[in-house]
Amino acid sequence: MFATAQYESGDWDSAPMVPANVIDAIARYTSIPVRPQGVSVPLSSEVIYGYPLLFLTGHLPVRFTNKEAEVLREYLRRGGMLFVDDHNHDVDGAFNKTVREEIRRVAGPLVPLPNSHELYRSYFVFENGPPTTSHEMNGWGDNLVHEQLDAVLFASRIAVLFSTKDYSSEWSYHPDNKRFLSVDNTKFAVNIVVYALTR
Amino acid sequence: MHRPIETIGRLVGVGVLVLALMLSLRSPTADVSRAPRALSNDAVADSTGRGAALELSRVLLDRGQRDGARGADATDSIGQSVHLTLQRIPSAALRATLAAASLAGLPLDWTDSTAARGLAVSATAAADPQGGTIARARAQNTQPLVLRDAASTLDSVADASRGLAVSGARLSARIEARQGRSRAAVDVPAQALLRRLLLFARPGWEAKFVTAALEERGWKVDGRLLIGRNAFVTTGMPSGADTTRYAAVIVLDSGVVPAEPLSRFVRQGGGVVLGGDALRDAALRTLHPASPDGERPMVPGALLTDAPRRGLDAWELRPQRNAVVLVQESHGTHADPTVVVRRIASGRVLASAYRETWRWRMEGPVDGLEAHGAWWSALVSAVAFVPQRDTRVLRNDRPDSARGIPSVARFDSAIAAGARAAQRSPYPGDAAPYADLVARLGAPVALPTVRPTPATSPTVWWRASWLWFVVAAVALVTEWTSRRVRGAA
Repeated sequence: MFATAQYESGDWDSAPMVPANVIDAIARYTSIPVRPQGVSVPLSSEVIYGYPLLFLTGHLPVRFTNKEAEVLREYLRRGGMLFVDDHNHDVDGAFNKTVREEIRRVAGPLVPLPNSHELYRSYFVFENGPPTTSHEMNGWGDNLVHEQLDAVLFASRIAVLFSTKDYSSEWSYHPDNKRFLSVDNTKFAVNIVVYALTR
Repeated sequence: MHRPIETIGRLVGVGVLVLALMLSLRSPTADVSRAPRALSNDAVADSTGRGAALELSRVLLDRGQRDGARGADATDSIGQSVHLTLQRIPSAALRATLAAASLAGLPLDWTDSTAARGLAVSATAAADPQGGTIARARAQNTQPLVLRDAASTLDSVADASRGLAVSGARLSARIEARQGRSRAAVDVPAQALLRRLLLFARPGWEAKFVTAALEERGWKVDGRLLIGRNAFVTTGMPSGADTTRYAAVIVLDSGVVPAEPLSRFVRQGGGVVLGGDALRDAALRTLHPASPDGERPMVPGALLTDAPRRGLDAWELRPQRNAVVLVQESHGTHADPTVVVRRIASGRVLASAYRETWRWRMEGPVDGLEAHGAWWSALVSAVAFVPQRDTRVLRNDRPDSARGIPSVARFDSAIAAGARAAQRSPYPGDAAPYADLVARLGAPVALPTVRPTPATSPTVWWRASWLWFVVAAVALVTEWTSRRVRGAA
């Protein structure tokens, strides 16, 4: 089940179509059993322990409450994985700056993830690291093409995966519209889910 | 008519008396050829230590002389047994001497007049990457038993017949069991040589967290995860199930592994852990230690109690006839088996009833992460294949390349320590001398009531006193008869 994290600050539900699109990709390319709809779980509740992969996105500044920080810290210690995407696609944006600080407070500093990491081969092969998004190519946000993702590693396992590529915009469309794409841009989501399920 | 009869009677009587006189004048020791018979069933009384050695030497020398004097074959004296009555456990050297004599063909038996008790202690390396030793002790009686290492007492029980087992990560070099005056000791073995684990499953939280739990406990895990029709995701570098590479195989789903290679792996001595839907895999039915009769739903909220596994969905297991229940859960008046193990050929197969153990780690109590890891490591340890270390390597002092031995052996300090320990003790059995004595000479026998017992032997009939009585009686009756016949005449 695909779970989106609710946090008290910011706009946690800024990409409502992402869960459906990721679920569609999983069902389309693998035999992994999936529930047809995602869920939203409050970051301040131990309920998140039942969802070992969490998706977190937004545009606005993020400030975890003490309870959210405590629960998230324990969640990561137990083996959960948090996937954070900057919906602004802006390294100078409020979300990027604040959420990095919060991740450092909870889990430790983010470090660049090498493009040779097994995340890029966990199902589909991405020779050049994370796939470029149309928003990067269109010059939106910081007008940069980010070559790498960042991560916090716990004993070589990705505990927090951080993207500034704005997959929240890239994947936020109705799955039926994939037929208009020459290349399915949600394939990388399959890699993230398979990695989370196997490592 | 009467005179010839009388004459004959007198002659017979006189002849018998002359024969009796000759026999009585003849010394038994004068006839060397009859000596072995006289010494049959030698008794070496009160024979421990030097006394036993001297007695045994004397017996053997006597036999040698007798055999030599009559030119007999050495095997002639082999049939004669020697009995020892031991007041205390012989030294290692004497035990070796006795064993050598026994191996050379001299039947030896012994009576236990010692105060020692049958006491056994063993130490085996745990099949756990974190090391550790499992020490076990047991005795024949119900007296208190103490198990200790060089540092301190490890544990004790009031009833030794029920045995005593201790698992510890850091037991010092020598483990000793004590019961009264009896002691047995054994060196702590080198750490077990463990191989990798191979996981077959479908991608999912159970596969992910079982792998994580085992890797956090030090196991190295290769995974082969079925993600589509004939499509696999791999972790590590999985290869075929073989004991040269893997200690155990873990199967968590049905239809993810063919049965034949798995059966072959078990017959080689490998271990298999079946969990989740693997217990419903019909193809693996011949391996199943238990069959799932139904589903046992979790107890809501139990994950956060002292019995967190009750908060997990599980199968209701029905153990096979030759299986052993390792763990069971009590539910009022009955208990459900939850971990069942079965031996197949050289290997073992274990079934775990729990279906989503990852919830124990993620949703359980604060120590759920560690408890989940310890649980899975223990399941694997229960069946893991542990290869025996090659003792030829232990005494290898020459360069490895010269003998074609992998160079890794040179740097294994545990092996080197074992080799030094083996060289220190020329009598390995000294750690448990009573057991060593039994191993060398066999179990003690009851004290013989009559020693020696030549009367029943046909070869020494002439030494029986009752026979002389019969002879004398015959002589007297003959003389009396002759006189009666003469009077009648």
